[in-house]
Amino acid sequence: MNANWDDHLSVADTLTAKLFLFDAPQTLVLPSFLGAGANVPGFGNNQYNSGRIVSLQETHAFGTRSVNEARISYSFLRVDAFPQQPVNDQSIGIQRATRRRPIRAWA
Amino acid sequence: MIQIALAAGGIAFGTAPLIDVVAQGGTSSVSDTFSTQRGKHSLRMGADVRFNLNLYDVGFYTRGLIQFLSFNDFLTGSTYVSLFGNGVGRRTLRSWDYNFFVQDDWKVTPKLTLNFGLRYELDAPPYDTQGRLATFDPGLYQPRMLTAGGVPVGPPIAGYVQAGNVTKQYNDPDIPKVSKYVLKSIDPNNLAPRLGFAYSPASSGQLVVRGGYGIYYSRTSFQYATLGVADPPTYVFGVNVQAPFSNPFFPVPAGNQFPTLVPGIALSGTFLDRNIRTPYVQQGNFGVQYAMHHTLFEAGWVG
Repeated sequence: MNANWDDHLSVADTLTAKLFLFDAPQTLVLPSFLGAGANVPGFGNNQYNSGRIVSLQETHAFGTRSVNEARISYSFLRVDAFPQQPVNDQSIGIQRATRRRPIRAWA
Repeated sequence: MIQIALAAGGIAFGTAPLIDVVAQGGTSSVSDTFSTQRGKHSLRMGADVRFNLNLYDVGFYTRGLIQFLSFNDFLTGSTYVSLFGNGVGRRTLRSWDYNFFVQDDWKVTPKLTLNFGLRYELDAPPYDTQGRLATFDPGLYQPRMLTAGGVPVGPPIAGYVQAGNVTKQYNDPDIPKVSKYVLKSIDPNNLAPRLGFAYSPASSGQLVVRGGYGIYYSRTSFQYATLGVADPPTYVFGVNVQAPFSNPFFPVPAGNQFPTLVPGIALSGTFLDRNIRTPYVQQGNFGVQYAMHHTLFEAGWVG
């Protein structure tokens, strides 16, 4: 969604606002991730992308020779990615992928 | 992730090593620019303050990777290389930028205009709110003297440093603390002058000569701090060669045991240089324009 708003508050003042929002969920059949992903179908992932951009600007003219522009803005991006069907170690016969062990055993 | 003879055009299936990701980034800024005309001078000045954040939680090889040299090896469960990672993949990074500038376009004569500008940037490096930043400083390196067949055993006595604002949960008491940025300096001397001119020597105005030079700073991205996520002591990659398929992975510590330096694991990685500075470029240009009837000839140089 995109929205722009301009308002001439007075002869000397103008207010400008901009808003941009997006949500873009994706399903990737062959997620690559630097070439390290699966090269056969069946191991896709869900990826959720969203973003927010908001900007507010006020322009004030001091007579005919001077102008002041003040602006505040905010932008935000989010990307989440998770496998659809993760392969668990137990499902292919691996007993345990991790186990606790004493740390600093060399000390 | 299972890879079978991948170098020979084989197949890879399973969950990708870098697939579990939650990442957020944002910037908030407040800026002001004032412009005014005073006689032959056109003045502009302004300030810009930005707050940047980068939050993420990633897992590198937390689901493991097993390589087989051939399909026969896969069928018989004869692994080649097994890779497994674990650690603290979460960061909450923050940074602030402070920018100020002033410039003057001075119309000295009708034929000559000079441009002067000066910009200052303080692009503070990113830091983690929990102090989960660490790096390897070669200048502090002291290898452990214990050897097994001439190879040092265990992590080095010194060389790693961690952020000074590290919280108790993520503090490794054996690793010295430095600044919260981990860097040696925030690099505060980023003055960027700009000069330019435009000159039209002929009274006809057909010939114009222009030139300019400037220094332009640009903050580093969060990438250099992000690359260190997969480095010790907050993360480890365990590599086994020809391990049994029933238990192929190196027994890396559980996530709540980090940060730690794990013996038996290569302590290599992509570490940030503690002397990193704010990058900048110097750029200059020179050009000549000549108008003849309805045709404009132009030659320029940019470097």
